[in-house]
Amino acid sequence: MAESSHEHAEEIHLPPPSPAPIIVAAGMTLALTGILSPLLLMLGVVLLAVGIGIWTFS
Amino acid sequence: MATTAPTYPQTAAAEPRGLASWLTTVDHKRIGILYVATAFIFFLLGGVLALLIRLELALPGAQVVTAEQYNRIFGMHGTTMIFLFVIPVLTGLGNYLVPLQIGARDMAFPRLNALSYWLFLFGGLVLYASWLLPEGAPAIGWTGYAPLTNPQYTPYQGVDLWAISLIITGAASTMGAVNFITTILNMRTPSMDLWKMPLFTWSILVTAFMILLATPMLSGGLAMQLADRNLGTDFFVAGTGDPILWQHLFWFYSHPAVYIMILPAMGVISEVIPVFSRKPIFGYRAIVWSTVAIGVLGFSTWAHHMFTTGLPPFLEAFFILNTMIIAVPTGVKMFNWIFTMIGGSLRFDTPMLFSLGFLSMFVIGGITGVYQAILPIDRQVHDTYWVVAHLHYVLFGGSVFGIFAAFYYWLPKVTGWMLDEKLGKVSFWTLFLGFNVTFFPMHILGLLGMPRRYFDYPAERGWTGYNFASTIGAFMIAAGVLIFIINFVVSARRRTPAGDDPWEANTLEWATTSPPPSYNFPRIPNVTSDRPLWDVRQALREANQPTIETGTR
Repeated sequence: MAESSHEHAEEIHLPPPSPAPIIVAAGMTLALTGILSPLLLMLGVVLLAVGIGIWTFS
Repeated sequence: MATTAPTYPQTAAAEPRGLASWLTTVDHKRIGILYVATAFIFFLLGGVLALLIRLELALPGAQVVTAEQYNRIFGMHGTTMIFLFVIPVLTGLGNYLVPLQIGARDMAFPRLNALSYWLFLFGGLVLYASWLLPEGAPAIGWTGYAPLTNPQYTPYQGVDLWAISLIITGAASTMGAVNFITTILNMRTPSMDLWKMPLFTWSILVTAFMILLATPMLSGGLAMQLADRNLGTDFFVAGTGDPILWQHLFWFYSHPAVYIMILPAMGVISEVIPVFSRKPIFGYRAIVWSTVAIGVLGFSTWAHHMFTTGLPPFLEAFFILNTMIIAVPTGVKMFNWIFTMIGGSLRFDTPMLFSLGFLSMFVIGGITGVYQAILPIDRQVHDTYWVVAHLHYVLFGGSVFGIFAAFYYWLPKVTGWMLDEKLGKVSFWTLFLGFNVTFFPMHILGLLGMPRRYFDYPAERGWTGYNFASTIGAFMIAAGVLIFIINFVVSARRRTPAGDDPWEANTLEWATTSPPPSYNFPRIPNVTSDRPLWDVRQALREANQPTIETGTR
């Protein structure tokens, strides 16, 4: 194993932290449990929309 | 060997801290840690349920729970261990290790990766939320067979939560699989072709394809089950629909799921055994092709779980044959692992002990599986404790021992400090003995005719001694897990530095610091074989070794 010869040109790009995944996951979960209660469904859909919005525009 | 530490960019070295950083992280290593930690908590919960099962069965008569509670407990135990522990903990290991092993900075889709984790966690919470409902958790086993799940037999919402939970965790698995496939195929360091890829990464790649193909069948079946229960459809209703259809959909996922749970553990063993044998792996390509073969054949054996449902004879023959054939690539791997050790300079550190535990126990589980492929034997032992013994020799003796081998092998990389070896060995032997005391008697119980899933048994059947021994073994397993936890806590306080490469290992994750920085490598590494660090050590040895030609001394 040896290090790459492009060491001088290489820049490190890492994705920044984001709250979108946890919000989308919470929204999806609540929306699916909406089969038990319309309130959960509505809450889930709202969270999902917010999460997708953050995901898309951040 | 102490690998020469590369120079790390100081600007990128500051790691985020605090709870918010964990809630918003998209770093594959942190997500891997979250996966493993969460899955381990579910393992402890599933373990407590297992102890309740064993306490209840220790003696004839009701001991600690009612029959109805027992039904809920064993269903939740199976669902927890499979969907919330073994599969996600292996996903977590893959998350942490795959980008490091292939010389990448992160997964291909970091946010999707985080979404997968959170869906897994929330799916698990949905399942456990069913305990809070007035009717309690679902009492449908981990298989959720129709017609038991039809609304007239289980008219309570715990069953719906069970189905929703599995749909959510299935979505998490599928997203994870897409991420692994894309990462491994597209983000390897340019010098790493497929034949230079570490065997653990190979196992994750094949597993990801299996998840991608199998999971939608289960998710579809679960959606149909929810529709039957809530929308008045009759997919799985006898007469207008077919309860057996559920079994096909369930096992089309759940038999490949056995390989989804065992292939990454085999990948772990394929990394550990050569390192602790001080030899290159014997038959790298044979192991890769065996992994691929298991991945393909794994989709052609599902109905061997359904021999007693009355399949047509030609289908029975097809599934018998394929179940026997799939033992061949597994046998090839066994052969390769054994021949890696032969002639090696063996070290019996804890990761190696767990790997040897895997080898010996998985052989028993595999052979009893081949027995069950023989139709007359299957009809005798179907739904008896023989099957419980078999599946635990595969999934505990195989997967869980592989997982513990991985914990002991890679925790120094994750934490930067070593686990205590003495406590590690005590933990291994307690788990190994406890495992065999628990599950070996179940073979005999099965042959004596004790049915699985039963809450109680008559004293005059002669099953009490075996059950009592099994219960003692279960508490030995609990002690083994407790010793592992104590080891973790003690070692975390002691913080014996691990260095970058404490085992003199072969793969790229050991070329970076312990723990690795957020960007993994300051520069993308080049590799020339499937064991790049071995190559470095070999080159150093050759450079320092006197040769006959030069006569250097």
